[in-house]
Amino acid sequence: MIKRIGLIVNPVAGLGGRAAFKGSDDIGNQERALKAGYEKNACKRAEECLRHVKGLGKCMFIAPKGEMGGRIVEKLAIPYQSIPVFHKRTTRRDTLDCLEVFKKEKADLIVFCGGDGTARDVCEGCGEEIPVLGIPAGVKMYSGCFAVNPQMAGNLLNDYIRDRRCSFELREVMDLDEKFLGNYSVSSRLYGYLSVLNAGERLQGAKTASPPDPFEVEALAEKIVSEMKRDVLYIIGPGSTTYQIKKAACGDGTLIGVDAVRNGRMIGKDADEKTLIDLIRENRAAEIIVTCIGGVGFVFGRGNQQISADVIRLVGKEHIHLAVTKSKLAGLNQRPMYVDTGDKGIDGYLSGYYQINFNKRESTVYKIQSM
Amino acid sequence: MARIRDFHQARWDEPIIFDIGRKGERGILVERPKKEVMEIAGDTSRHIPEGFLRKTPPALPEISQMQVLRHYLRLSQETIGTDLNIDIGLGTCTMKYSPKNHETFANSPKVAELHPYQDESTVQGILELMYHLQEYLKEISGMDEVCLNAGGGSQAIFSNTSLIRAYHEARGEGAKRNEIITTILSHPANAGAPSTLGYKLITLYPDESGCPDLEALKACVGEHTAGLLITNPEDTGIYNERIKEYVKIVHEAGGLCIYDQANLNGLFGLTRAREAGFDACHYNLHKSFSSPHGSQGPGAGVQCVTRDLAKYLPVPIAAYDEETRTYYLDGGFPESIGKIRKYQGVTPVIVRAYAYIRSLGGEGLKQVAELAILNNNYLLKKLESVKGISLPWAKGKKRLEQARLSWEKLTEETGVNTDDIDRRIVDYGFQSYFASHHPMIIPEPFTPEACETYSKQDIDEYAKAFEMISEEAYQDPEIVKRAPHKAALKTQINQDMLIKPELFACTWRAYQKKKSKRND
Amino acid sequence: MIHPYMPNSVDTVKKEMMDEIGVKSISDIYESVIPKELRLDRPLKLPEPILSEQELKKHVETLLEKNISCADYSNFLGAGCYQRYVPAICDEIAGRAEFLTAYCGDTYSDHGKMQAIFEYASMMAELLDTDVVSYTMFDAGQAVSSSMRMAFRLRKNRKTILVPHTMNPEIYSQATHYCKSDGRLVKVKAESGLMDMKDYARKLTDDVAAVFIENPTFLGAFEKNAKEIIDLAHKKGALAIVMPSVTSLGIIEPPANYGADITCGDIQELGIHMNYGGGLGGFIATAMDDELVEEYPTYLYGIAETEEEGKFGWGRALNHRCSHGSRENAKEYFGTEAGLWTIVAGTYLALMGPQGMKETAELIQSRAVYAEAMLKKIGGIEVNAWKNQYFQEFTVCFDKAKMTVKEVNQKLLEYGIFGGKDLSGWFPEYGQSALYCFGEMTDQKRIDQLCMALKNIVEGE
Repeated sequence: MIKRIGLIVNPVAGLGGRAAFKGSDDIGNQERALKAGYEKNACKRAEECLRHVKGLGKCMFIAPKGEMGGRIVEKLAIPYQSIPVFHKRTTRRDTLDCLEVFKKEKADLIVFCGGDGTARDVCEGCGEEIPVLGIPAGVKMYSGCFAVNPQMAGNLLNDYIRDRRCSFELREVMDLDEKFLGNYSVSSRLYGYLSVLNAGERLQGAKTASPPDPFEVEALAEKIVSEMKRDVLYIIGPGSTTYQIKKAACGDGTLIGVDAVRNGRMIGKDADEKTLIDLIRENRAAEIIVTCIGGVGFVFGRGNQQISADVIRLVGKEHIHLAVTKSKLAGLNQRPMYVDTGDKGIDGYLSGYYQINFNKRESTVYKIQSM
Repeated sequence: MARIRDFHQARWDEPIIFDIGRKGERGILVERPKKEVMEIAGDTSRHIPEGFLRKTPPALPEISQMQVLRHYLRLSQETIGTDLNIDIGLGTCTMKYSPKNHETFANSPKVAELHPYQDESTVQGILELMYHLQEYLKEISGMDEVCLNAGGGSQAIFSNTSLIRAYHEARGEGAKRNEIITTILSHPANAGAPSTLGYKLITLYPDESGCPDLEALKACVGEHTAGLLITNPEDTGIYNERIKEYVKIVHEAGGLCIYDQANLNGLFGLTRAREAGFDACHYNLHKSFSSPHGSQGPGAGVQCVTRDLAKYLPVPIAAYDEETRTYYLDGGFPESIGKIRKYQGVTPVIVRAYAYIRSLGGEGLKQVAELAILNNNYLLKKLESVKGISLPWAKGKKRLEQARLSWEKLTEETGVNTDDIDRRIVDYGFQSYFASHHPMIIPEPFTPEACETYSKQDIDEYAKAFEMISEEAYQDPEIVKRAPHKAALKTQINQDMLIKPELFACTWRAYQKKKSKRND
Repeated sequence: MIHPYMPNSVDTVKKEMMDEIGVKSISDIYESVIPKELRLDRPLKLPEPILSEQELKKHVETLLEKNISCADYSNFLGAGCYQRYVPAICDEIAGRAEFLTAYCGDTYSDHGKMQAIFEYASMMAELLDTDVVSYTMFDAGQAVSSSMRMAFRLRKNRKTILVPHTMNPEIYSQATHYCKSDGRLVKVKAESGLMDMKDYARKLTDDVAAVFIENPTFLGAFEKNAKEIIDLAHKKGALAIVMPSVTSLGIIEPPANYGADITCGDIQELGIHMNYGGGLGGFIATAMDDELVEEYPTYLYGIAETEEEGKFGWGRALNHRCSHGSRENAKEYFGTEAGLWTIVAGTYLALMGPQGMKETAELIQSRAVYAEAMLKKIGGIEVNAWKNQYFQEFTVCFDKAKMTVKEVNQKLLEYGIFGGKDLSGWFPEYGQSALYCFGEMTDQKRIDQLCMALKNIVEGE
């Protein structure tokens, strides 16, 4: 079957970084960088990726004309269907327009090249509807939705087109919180999730007596929910892992927000800090359930600032449950998990060893430390 | 300069056995009952209760003898055994040479034709051998009692964990002490066995030193701690020099400590479970003590334990009666956990292990460890120059008898991953290698173990092959990704059939049923 | 010391290697990582090595010569480990270096081994009339234990498995221990050697996850009510686990055909020497039912199509099994078990074919029937006390002769005979009984000699 693949390149991605700006989202930044003689790099990186599918057949690209993608596939002689572009200078609007076309054309996959800003746009434009492959080219790369490098992206794409086994998983789209941009203190926010093309499930090799467990999130959620106590307020942080817990606890919940649940009922959906504090004061007992961000290991201070230092102080560290799966832990590469609440005192208070339950039988003890 | 051979595996394109032979052919003729017997027994169907006479004979193949032999010989040629080529890749498996001399002992009718319930007076030779082997293993481990019953390393781990349970139960703490601590880099049976026994499991992850986080251990021991199951060195080959502290922490909390010594090959005569303070350990006789691994068994596991735990051991144990000067099987442990396997152990493996120890002595075994360490470090030196490979963790610290390397860089730069290399290595005539147990906390892993029986030349050739594959990965990754090319099987399989329940079939009849269903 | 198993024991080579690594001695390497307090500061106290191959051979052979084997004496022991005729080709294949020294090589390096394993399972499937057969486990005891754990997982809130009073005591001990954290084994009376149907009906409550029977029983008899036992279990929502004698299946219906949900047992009988009990290998088999397959605790070797039509490869399949069942009931461990016997048993089945299996089973049974008739002529012993029909084994009781089995067996040794397995320790209620086994290796002459010897022993020489 011919795969229909949407391609979108943010040609100015990465521009700011080389010029030591915090990002390239700002048009002023882009121009200053270009003036300073920095080249557009994203197209080169996209080309490095797409070289791996040159001559492969079995696919049809859909791409905007010119530097947003068309030029690259033309150069590599990859068959494609073009989308006209009307603006001289690429903006978010163009990206969103293209995404509309991809949806209408029923693309099987979207390949995008850019940074966190681009990922956010893709997330906004089509959410989890169409799976994506991210070619990293940006300055800010907090999101978990990018391949390691353009080569890896190319290999994945090659496998996908050739029908070799691939999988899809939900990965975080993060970006710096605009409020803080340019400030000294940097804070990132979780904007949503993309369904990301990933290397296929690996076959269990010899002697591997404990295989990867596709039900580990389910088992974890089951364990946590089975131990929920009556009349206790549960503050559940954002993330795909905790989302399962929300679902299991009350059949409702937000993916990227902080929700509060009591006695199997949602009592504070997508709550902000103030709501949380009010809720804690109304309830005799409260507990916090959070996960850590894959790969980087943040437990507090990234994507869940609603659970602020004050909230943690009120609840107490012995009432924090870490909902982390074995695979997520393995992905931390032996690094500890981090807290960065912006309150040094609370960060110090939170540091130490925590028991993490994987399911009803298995657990580990893992270190959390402040940044 | 290491030589790379122009290898090609036999490719017989052998049909499935059901497609060989014609109805009526016989592979072997069996004796028929004599007339006198027939006269008394008559038609056997008379002696079978109603309804139990088989109505349809089993649809087994019908093949003449030569054709059966040929089929299996061809299949054997499409298999790479350790006898055939350098089997350094299967780290943690200790694929050392298994002396052919020992095969004649194991296959002797004096072993093969013994029934496990024979009168002790008729098995004095094998009992004497078992008794002495137990004594040798006591010295090698420093422990007080040894049991040879287990059918493999994992069963020995299971049995050792059972001793923990028996110990705490005897103290009335069986229910309270319901947690076993183990490490993520230990063999999965260290998690699986306690789990089978109903324990809760706390798994420690390594810190940056590559060893399990000692502070995490301190944080999790307590009144629920039943015991610690820990391997040293773990599959990384990194020796945990603070091992005694781990034991102390667990002992102070009232738990027991079990040493997984499957990786004994680099430790013979250098360090023992006793000195590190353990309550029990286990060895895999088929690994360090050299038995052919037999396409995954039969193996044998031994448990070595302190006096305090001896009374709980499974039975029987070979013993010697000074008075009558005879050997016997001692089954008289009233507090024993019972049987973990029928009879008294996997005897052919026990015989080979005995012969192995006798052929080397104490000094020889130490030399085994030393040369295994030398070989491994030499191999690591050779692999250092292979582009794209790295040795994560504990920089600058020497590994003992094996190491876990990573192809992460090569994968990032070329897209070729450890699975691809593992297929490609077959084209060079080598057994596929061992990546890692799950979860792969070292990305794109590769775990070689260059046992002492491999020569410098062997190691050079082995390392060279990886150098070649690395070059291929950088120059023409498709060669590696599409491998194997020179193996018995030249194309890759449809992995979905091993993953999707609706496609899965582990017998020919099931495959045919599912296939005809698919075609409907 | 230069040793033939250690090529790099040659000093010049060793030095070259050390130079390359950059160390002066090997001890530099391990002393840098193993702390002094943990190092053994003396040589291991082991006997001096026997260095030459010839001397080692002499030493071990001298030791083994002290054994008297079943090749030397007539053997009437069975009870879970059977002396069968082993075809020459089975020994040839068991000794093939490629199979013997392979390990866990997979789809691509060990294509032939994988095919042989798959073919074994496929032939077992024909013998057992099931669609799924596991890779080899440690022994029947492990297979029975794991089958019971499967039943506990499949019948979550049930905590009992019923077993016959006569169940193989070694497997009973093993299974009791193995299942302890999931449930308990409860024995059903078997006063006539077969399961007491009244006691069974009484004990078959809603707490029963499965009933386990051996057919033939440990004491040799056909469990003739097997179908009824299974039907009753099914009515109560319990599973049925049956362990057959695989050799008997040449003439006997396989358990799956009278309702067994799980068939399990040992393959030692299929071309593998007894090895003093070291030749065992277990199997589990079921129908192709997703729910059952999900609970298999061992490797399953699946067939996979390739890019070329009609060409197959193999690999370990459905590796996620058990993992989600493990949330409620713990999963099991497994490791290196008894792989080589898989290939040998496969070779055996291919050689025997349906006719060979049938004739072998007939031979065994007719000899046992003959032996019963002959033994019955001896006064003072009670043969097959409950008059059950049997396959290859039955009990002989020496109570009337006022002799212990031990005494009888000691005397039999003088005749060059291994008498039946003494049951008086395990089943004191059956008095001084022994379990006698007959088969291909006990021909008419040997049976006659046994009868003569027993006659002499019990009637006084």
